[in-house]
Parts: sequence; structure tokens; C-alpha cells
Amino acid sequence: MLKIMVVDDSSVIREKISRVLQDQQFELVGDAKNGIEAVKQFKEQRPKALTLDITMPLMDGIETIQEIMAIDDEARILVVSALADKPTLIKAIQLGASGFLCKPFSDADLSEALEELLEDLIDG
Amino acid sequence: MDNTEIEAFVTSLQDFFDKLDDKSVNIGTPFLIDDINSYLLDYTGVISITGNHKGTVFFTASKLMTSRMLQTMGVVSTVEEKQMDLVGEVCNTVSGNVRREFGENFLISTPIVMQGHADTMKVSNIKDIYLIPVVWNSLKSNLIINIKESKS
Repeated sequence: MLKIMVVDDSSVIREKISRVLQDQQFELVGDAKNGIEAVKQFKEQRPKALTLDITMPLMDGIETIQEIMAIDDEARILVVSALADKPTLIKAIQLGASGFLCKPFSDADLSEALEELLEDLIDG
Repeated sequence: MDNTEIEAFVTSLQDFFDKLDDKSVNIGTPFLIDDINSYLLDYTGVISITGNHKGTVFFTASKLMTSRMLQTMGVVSTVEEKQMDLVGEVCNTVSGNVRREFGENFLISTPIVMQGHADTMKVSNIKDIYLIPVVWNSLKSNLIINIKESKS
């Protein structure tokens, strides 16, 4: 199973995403509410992918992308954020994010985004 | 705020509830209020706005509504902590989405959440306070917007 972690300051969103992941072929290895927790768990668990919010306390998602990419530049990051402006999307992608899903999202939206992001890893 | 800006919040609220389930939501006509305290319900999420605008956005809902929303989202536990988290997340999502209209310099804080009726709450000295009523599954909530364009 593919290791993945979920990063969001909302416990409700973490639970929603985790439920969708566990319904599919993913092993949930981390659950963080800010970037600092996310980087720590990433180092320990080395997941192949993570979903990542942008607006979080202590360390936001943009800084977290940079930290994660410095550890493993092959990590797949799906940004899941309410920040719906193009410059934020472009910045996240330029820093190393692989995909962007705008909140609010349905279970089907998330499944589709994950499939697109991880298709080659899942098939492999 | 002009009509286009208010409409951006209406659209963002509509999008949120459209993604929640296939039941219809009624987003009412926005109107001006004088005192926010009369409109606060059991849980209120609060987002501070800085950058090209300044002020505050509130999403306030009853316990019953937050419980039903959590159940609809498939969240197993509907304890108070989750209900409070939810109103913060709605406020965050609606405020984040309007950056399509307001731009990347519409800066939003992480949410803080209040419980109960804050009868001593004071809002900023920004004159206009808009309320957008929401009825979902016959349950009521309010989005309250108290922002203005920042000259700095």
C-alpha cells in the first residue's frame, strides 16, 4: 500500500480526507495539524505523498512544501486549500507541489485528484 | 463593499453547501445590521482579514446545524470540539475562496472559534456589517462580513 499523510489544521478536514484515503489503496501514516508537525512526521514515516493545507498556524503550507522538498524532492504533494487565487496555485506548484484541489471538495473530487497525482505509483 | 464583492461571498457560500450534499441550500439576500451580537448562534468561527482589505468575517451556526453538517461529511464524532472546528473551517473556506474576486493580497488568518453568545463582543470601527442568511435542511446559520478596502 502507498504511504500517505494528511496535513490540515482542521480536524474535521483531516478526518474527511483520511476516510477517503482509507477507502482506497492507501496506508495513512501521518496526521498533522501544522507544518512543523508535518515535517517531523515526514522525516519519521517517509510517505510517498501528502495532502497539504496552506493556511495553518506555526508553519504554513507554502513553507512546508519547501521543507518537504528539501528532504525528498520526489514526494508528491497535493495542496488542498481554500485559497482559490491563481498566484497561490502557481507558487505552490513552482515550489514543488504536484497538484491542487480547491476546498470545498467532495469525496469524488478528492479521489479523482489523488488518482491523477499518484496514478503511476499506484500502477507500479 | 460593493455588490460584486458581496456577491463573491454569496457564491462562495453556495459552493460550500453545494459540495456538502445534494440538498438545496437557501442563501438569502444580504442585508446590513447594526449589532452583530443579536445574530450570533451557538458556535462562531472568526477570520481576520488583512492586506488589500481589513476587517473580520464570521460564520455562526447552531449546535444542531453543525451536528448535521458533520454527519453529512461522514465525521464519526460530533463532539463540541468538532463542531467548533467546523465553523472555523467554513469561515476559512468561504473567506479563502473569495480571493478569486479580491486577489492574492486578500490575506486571511487561521480561524479562531467562539462558543455561545458573546454579548460583549465589539467589532471594528468599520461601519458596514453585512449579514448573509443561510438555511440548509431547515437549519439556520449566518455569514457576517465586516470588512472594507484598505488604503495602506
